[in-house]
Amino acid sequence: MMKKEFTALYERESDALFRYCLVRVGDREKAIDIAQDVFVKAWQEAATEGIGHPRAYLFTLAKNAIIDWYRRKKAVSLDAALENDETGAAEPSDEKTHADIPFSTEAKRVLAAVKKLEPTYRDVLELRFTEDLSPAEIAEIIGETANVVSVRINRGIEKLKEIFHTNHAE
Amino acid sequence: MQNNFEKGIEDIRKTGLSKIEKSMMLENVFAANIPSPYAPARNIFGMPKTFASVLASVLALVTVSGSVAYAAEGSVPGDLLYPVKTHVTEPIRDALAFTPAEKASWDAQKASRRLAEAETLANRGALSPTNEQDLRRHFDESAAAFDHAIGSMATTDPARAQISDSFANILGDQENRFAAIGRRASTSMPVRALGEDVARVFKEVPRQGEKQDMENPEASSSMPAPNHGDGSIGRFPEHDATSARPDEQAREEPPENEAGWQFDRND
Repeated sequence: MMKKEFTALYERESDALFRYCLVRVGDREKAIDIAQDVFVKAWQEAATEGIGHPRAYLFTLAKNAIIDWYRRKKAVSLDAALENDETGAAEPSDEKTHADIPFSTEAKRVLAAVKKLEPTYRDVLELRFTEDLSPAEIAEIIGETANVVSVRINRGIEKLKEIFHTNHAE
Repeated sequence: MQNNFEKGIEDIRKTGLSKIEKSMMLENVFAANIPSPYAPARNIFGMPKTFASVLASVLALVTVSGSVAYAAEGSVPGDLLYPVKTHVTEPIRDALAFTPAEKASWDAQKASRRLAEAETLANRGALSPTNEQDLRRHFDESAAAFDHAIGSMATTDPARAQISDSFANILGDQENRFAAIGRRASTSMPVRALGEDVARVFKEVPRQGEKQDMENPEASSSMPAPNHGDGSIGRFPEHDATSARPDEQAREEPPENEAGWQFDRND
C-alpha cells in the first residue's frame, strides 16, 4: 500500500478508531496514543505485507492494544489495591471513567449503561454504536460468525434498554 | 427517554479528533521511521548507494535508532529514554519545521507534551516540585516560541486561527484535567502551579474570537465556554461532543425502526 493510499485510509478511519479507543479507555490522551500506535503498526504492515480488510484490521489492532493497556493498568491497580485495600478492576465499570471527557450527558449515560453489560454484548455494541460497523465487520474483529454477532447485537440492545431505563429512573 | 438514548448515541458518534490532532498523529505515524519498500530511496548520510554494505549499515542504524526514538515518544522525566525524546527526537523535529505555521504547530505540540508528561507523573503520584519546575520551564519556553511563531504568521492566514484555536483547546482541556488531579492528588501543589501557568498561557493565546474583535470591535468579545449540562464547563469547542464532524453530512442515516433505535440496519 502506497503512502497516499494509507493516508486516505487514515483520513477515513482515524476518527472512528480514536472514538472506539476513547469509549473503551475513557481518557482522551490515552486514546490518541493507542490510536497512533495502531496506525503505526498498520502502516508497517501495509507497507510490507499489505492489508486485506483495512477497517477490520485496524479495529482488531485497537481491540488488542486496549486489552494490553487494561492488563497493564490492572497490574498497577492490583499493586495499588494491596496498598489501599481496594479491588483493582480489569476494566472500569462506572461513569467516572468518562467524567473528564467532554461527552454530553446523554452520551455519558449511554456509555455508563454499556459498561454494565456483560463483555459478550458490550464488545459488539461498542463497535456497533460508536463505529457503525456491520455484523460481518464486527464478526471479523472478534472472531465470530456474522450470525452470532447479529444475535448478540439484538440481545445486547434489549439488555441495554433495561439498564438504561433503570439508570434513568434512579 | 428513548430520545435521550438516541441523542447519546448520536453524540458519541460525532466525537472525533481535532484537525491538529489528526494531522499531528499522521505526522507521528510516518515519522516512526519504519522501513518500507515503497518509500523513496533516500541517502541520508550522503554515502554512495553502490556501496551495498555501507547502505545496509545505514538502513540498520536508521531502523534501530528509529525504533528507539519511537519507543522514547511515550517516555516521561525519569524514564530511561526520556533524554532521547528531548535531546534527539525533538531537536530533529525542531530542525524540520521551516515555515512559521510548522514552527507554531510543532511548538504547540511540544508545549502540550510537557503538560501531558506532568499529568502522567501526577497520576502516578510522581510529580515532584523539581520535575514540575523543569516541565513548567520547558512548557513556558515552548509557549513563548509558539507565541513568536504565530505572531510571524499573517493575521489573514486561516492556518493561524486554526493552530491558535487548537492550542487553546488543548490548553483548556489540560487545565481542567490538572484541576481534577489537584482536587484528589497528594501532589496537588505542583499540579496547581502548572494549572495556573497553563491558565495564564491559555489567556494569552490569540483565538478566532479575538481576531474578529480586532476587525469588528462591535462584535462579541469572547467565545462562550460551552456548558455540557452536567456542571462541567468546557473550553474546547473542537472537542465538544455536540459539534458535528466535518464528514457527518456525508453519512447515510439509517432508517428508524418502530422502536426508534437507529442501529439495527443490516442485522
